[in-house]
Amino acid sequence: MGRIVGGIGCSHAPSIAHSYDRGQQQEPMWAPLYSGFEPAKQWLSRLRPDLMIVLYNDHMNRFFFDAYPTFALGVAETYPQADEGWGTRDFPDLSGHSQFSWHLAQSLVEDEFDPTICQEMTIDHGIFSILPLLAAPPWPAPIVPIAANVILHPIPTPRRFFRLGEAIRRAVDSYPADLRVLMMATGGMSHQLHGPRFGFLNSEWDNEFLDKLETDPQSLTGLTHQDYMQRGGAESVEIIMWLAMRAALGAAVRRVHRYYYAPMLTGYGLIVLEGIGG
Amino acid sequence: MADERGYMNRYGLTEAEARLIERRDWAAMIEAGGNIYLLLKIAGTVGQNLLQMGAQMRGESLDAFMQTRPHNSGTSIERSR
Repeated sequence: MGRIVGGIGCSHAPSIAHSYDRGQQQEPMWAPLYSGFEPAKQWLSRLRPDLMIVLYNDHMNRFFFDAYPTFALGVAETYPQADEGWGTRDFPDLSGHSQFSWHLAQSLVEDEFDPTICQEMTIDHGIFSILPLLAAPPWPAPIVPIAANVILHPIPTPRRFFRLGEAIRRAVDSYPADLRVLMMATGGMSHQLHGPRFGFLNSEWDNEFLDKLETDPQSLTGLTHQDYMQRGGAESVEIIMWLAMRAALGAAVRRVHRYYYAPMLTGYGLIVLEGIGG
Repeated sequence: MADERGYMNRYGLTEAEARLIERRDWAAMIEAGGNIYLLLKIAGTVGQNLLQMGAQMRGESLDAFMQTRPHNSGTSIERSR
């Protein structure tokens, strides 16, 4: 039997990748973020999951206008980095888990989710920007990536993401072999990247989201995309991916760690949760 | 890029679109229906970053915009709970 043993919700951002690559971990602006992630890194090294399912979005680095899937599931044994235009970073490829991926594909489709099945998938900063803050390479466990469209409307509803998380949980539960699975979702908290509202931040809303994600996630599923965009900025709508992580953990959760830091263009957020009572 | 216009012509941009890119007018590119994640790729190619784009879209100098940022105005919010 597979089992979900924990969940991580966190921001992804090119700025995090740049700070890492430039060695700015100790600089005044960045040091708080790196120490804020440290407890999650330690927790993950103790947890030692067999597999990480990571829900994220691609920024037109793997998928493009010609065909942009609403949900895409990787079934490969290896996932190289996508070149976002500046060359790839000095990290190993992600290892996959093809056998579990195909089980997940079968289970999701039977559960009326129909992802595009990807035999080849390059991965951009949606995963690679944040992974080094959670674990030093070589990466701690194989990864099964699920890319969701949160950048080209129409995008799935918040409730759809919650239900996706429930479906992922059923898939893990029905896996025939023992497998301890970490469920992770990445996506920025408040930020707006275009127009006169560029640079919009809303730390109050970000922290309200973190509160409700833990204790009352259903209330977040009833909000519209516009609600999210008005409260957090247009591009922050991607935070709805975290609802899938929360749903995958079951009804009740225990908070292991939480961190929030908003120094520049976005609220960098992190929450680490464990499910209670199976 | 040695020949910006020649490159754009290869991909069938209209005269109006090419001018917006030559002017680095990100605000107008958004108005014209541009997607920020793709405009970022143009910016990277012509040597601008997101902060420069943002200042232009807000109608400010980069310096003026940077002064509004929490880290630079001593108002960064950090919470751990």
